[in-house]
Amino acid sequence: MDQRQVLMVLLTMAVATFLTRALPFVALAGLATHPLVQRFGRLLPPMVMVVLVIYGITGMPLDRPSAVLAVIIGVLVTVGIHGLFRQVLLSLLLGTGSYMACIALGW
Amino acid sequence: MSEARAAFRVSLPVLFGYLPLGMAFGVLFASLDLGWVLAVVAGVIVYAGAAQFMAVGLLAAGASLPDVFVSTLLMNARHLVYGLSVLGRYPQSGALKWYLIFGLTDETYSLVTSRPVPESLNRHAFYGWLTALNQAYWVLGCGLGAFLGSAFAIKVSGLEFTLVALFVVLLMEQWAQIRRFEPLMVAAVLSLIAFWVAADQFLILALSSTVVVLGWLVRREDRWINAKS
Repeated sequence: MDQRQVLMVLLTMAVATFLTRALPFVALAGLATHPLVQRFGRLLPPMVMVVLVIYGITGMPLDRPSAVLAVIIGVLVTVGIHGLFRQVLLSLLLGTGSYMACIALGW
Repeated sequence: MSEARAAFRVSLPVLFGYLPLGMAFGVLFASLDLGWVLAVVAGVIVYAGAAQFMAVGLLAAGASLPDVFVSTLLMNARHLVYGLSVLGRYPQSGALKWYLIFGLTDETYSLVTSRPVPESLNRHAFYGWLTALNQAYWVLGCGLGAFLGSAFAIKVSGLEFTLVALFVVLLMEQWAQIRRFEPLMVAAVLSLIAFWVAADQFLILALSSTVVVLGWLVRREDRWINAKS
């Protein structure tokens, strides 16, 4: 496969990706201030975040009990630290750090 | 430039998520022996994590352009959901509007909807910086990974947990804004059903069913989900 063909594939993907992101803005442009749409827009993000959390967790390697434990510890540390200090970076640092420590120890 | 500084602070978690992830894509892409420039091009014009990983597979298999088009649409259909809930936050016209829409990834969407913009700042400029910085991290990762190529064995054991932690933290921030369990329970139950029905199509199933059910509940004006918090 030469560079030209690869570029065509990438351009095709770029158009398809942009379409999925732009469609709501084109199709629903006049509805942005409608009360029902606003309520919808306020409730949807936390629900999406629940889905993304589950997606993220199930995307981690969970093939061994120790790997599952590492994810559980990582999530608990993240929640605990964030509940205490509400500093996003600190929560991510310690949460990810504790996960990586568990993996490195390889329980 | 205080918008840029504020956006940089908010974007830092994405830096630590996108750099290793982009590098993973770059290393994978390098295995096709197509050079690092095209990996950068992919990050610049496609800018979609999952779709770019899929692209490597499609390129290796020599997929036709219609196949590429349809599989990318399906892979990214979840973005339809994101547009729905940032309609009111984004500018209604102009070049910035279209760039923000172009750059609406999972992570940028999560930050835009979860982190409050300080009152003193221009909201749209802030979103512009945030989107551009996130894409810059991604492009940098793609290029670095492809440049270093197979010489660099990607072994960042556990760093990918950053994005899980980011979603967890942002969920807590969202929780602080709505303080209602019911919508979250609905999303959790729909996720479990989606996982049970077809784990390999989890994201699109869970998100589309969430949109349909929430739309139905909002339209019915059910008190338990619509009550003001």
